[in-house]
Amino acid sequence: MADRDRVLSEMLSESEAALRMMDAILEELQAGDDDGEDAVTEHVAAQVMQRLEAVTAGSTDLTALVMHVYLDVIETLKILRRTRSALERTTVEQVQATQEKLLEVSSTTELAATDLLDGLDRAIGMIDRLDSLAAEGNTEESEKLRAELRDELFRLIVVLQFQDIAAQQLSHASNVLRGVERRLERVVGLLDDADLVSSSESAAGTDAADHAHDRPRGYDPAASMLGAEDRQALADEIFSPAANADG
Amino acid sequence: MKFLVVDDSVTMRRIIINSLQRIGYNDFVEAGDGSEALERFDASIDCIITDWNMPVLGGLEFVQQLRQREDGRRVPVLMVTTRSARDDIVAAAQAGVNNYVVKPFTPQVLKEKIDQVLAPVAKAN
Repeated sequence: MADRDRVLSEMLSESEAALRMMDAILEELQAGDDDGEDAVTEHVAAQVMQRLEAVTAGSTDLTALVMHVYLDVIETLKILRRTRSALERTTVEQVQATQEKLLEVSSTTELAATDLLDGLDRAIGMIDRLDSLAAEGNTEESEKLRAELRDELFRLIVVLQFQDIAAQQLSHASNVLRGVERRLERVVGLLDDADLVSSSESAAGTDAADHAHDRPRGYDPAASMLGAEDRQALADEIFSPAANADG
Repeated sequence: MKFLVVDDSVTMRRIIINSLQRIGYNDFVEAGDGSEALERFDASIDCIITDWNMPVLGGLEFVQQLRQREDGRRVPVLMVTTRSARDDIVAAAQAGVNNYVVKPFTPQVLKEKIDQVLAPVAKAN
């Protein structure tokens, strides 16, 4: 009975030691970066094997079992780390930029709608005044007011440029979301052992492949209603006769 | 004076044509991208107004290909686009664009740039 208690107590103590060692190894691996991960793993695996043999005192079954569990944990950690970095690398910044773009679309369309409504109010006011002038027989003032009305209506047509710019911003946002979806699919693929390496490599290469083709796009990712005057000033500077003479 | 207006946005083509009509021009040919514009361009076109970002063939590539054609070397080209990075504007100038309007534009700016690109044509006539 005393022997059995002693054996149980020793096994418990050895198991606790093995678990503490696993904790230490996991912390070490979590603190490490991706570079040289395989070398670290090999080095630590050798240490684990050595210490397991010592604590399990020749029990090969237990050594093999703990070693198997250890390798599974390491492999899972590797997958999780690659998943995390793939997500961080490819999606977070793009999603934030897209969110800002969508907010700009929202504000652009609201400003344009306000502009249109203001213009229509002014146009209706002008038509009312034209009616009054017609009743008075004031043709000279009517002529002037009709010209103003034409200008006002033309101004409203020009305001509709917001549609083109908002459409480009939405195309960009849609394209980014498609890219995020593609990458998330690859991240899910990372969790499949068989595709581990190939999926990871192809995910990393996606951006380069997308840009390398440089296909004509029907939108400008930087399209904006904001700061048009400053941007036009830059174009004027580059296209000025003096700049052309210098060039 | 006949204009070729190239933009994949129907709204933008209408706005530009409307602006041109306000200035007094009434003869237009429209194209939805650079490839279509190359097909529609001929010696009767006096001025081209083109967007940059278009599917199939973009505005920059369109101008580059146009300038390689014997009949497309001299026609004035005004680019009207949202692209406004310095490198883009310089690239447009190097491709053979004669002047540049940033969207959204005001009717005054568009008129001013059209007058500028057409001035040499008017002088030659």
